[in-house]
Amino acid sequence: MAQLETALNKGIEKVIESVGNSPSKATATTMRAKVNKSNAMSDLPLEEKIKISLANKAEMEKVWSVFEMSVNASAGGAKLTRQTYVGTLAAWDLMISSAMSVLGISETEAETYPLSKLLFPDGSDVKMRTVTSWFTSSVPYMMDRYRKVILKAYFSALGIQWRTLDSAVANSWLVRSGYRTTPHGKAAVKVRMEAFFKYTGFPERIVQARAVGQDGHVDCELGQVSLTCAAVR
Amino acid sequence: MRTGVRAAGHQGTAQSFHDVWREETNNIDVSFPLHNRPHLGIRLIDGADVRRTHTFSEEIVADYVPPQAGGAPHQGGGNNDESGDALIGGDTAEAAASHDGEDSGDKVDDETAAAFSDAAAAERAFDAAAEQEDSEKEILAPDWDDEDVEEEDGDIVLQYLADDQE
Repeated sequence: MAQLETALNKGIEKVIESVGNSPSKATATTMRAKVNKSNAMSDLPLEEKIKISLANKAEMEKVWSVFEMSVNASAGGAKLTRQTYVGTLAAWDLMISSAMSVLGISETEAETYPLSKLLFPDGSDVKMRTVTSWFTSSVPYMMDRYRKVILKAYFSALGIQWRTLDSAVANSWLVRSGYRTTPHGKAAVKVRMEAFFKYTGFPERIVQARAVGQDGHVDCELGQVSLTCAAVR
Repeated sequence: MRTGVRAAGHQGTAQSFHDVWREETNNIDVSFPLHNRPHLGIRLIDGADVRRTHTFSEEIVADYVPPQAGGAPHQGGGNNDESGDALIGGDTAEAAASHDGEDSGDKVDDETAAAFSDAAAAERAFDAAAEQEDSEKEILAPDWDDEDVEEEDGDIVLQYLADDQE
């Protein structure tokens, strides 16, 4: 019971660190490299496996976070339509470049890293899993976040409660693409573009009016406009 | 009582967000201006780009879409630097785009160089034909066309003087 409370309070990593007779850090690193290179479930004690799996996950999460930042930068800072939505090939390129920059490995090693099966934590156990499997939901996850931000800005500009939006009202905006062809819909396009750029960290794309008679505008490309349209649709 | 296993795959008309985005890209293309100046609070930075609706990677489009349908690659970069294939560091899609530009630029350069070499070969052939024609004219031309006539003793006698002398 005491061990469980400790695990809850300090995390399982600290518990594994406190396990007696654990090998030194240098030995663990060597062991981890050996296990990762073998790409197979190693016949080691569970404590050692958990330690290796946690180190693998920490390393993978560094690459993962850089990858998601890259996806975000690609969507918000796109200069071509195809960069707005990171497709499979572009995602693969970003994965490899993220692994290269974070782990400091060569291009050849970076190409094999996402496909390698490594030990990862699985509850109180470990299991073999490819690195890529952690990345598969990243792009849809990011797009879902964009969709919520865009929807909130869009319906707030229209004076509609987007969380409690009635399906009949929602469908009325779909008639003849009214969400982008009606005057209200057109006016709200700019609002949702501004929200999108603020959220993705590219506020410089929002150009303020600098003289009397100007309204200001947003610098975007067609793919970003269609992304916000797709989110509303 | 009947039981069964549900078939895998899509059971409804659900579309992925990627599909909807591609559809919208084509749909809104007709309602946005073809320039890159502000219009209704929006300035499309790729408004004047004929490939603004392209949603696939440039390499795929260049390889599989004919140039007549807009499949020619962008003519950016083109510095023949072949060491720029890998994405390194924090560079993201911008780096990818620039490298794509370099790669496609190399292709464009190769095509341009081939076209120039063809043109040079054609020019050389034309020059050779012209030279041959000149030489034929020279052979077929009458002797009295020459202003200078060199006689056997080496003195140069002007033709009209020689005619007068006769």
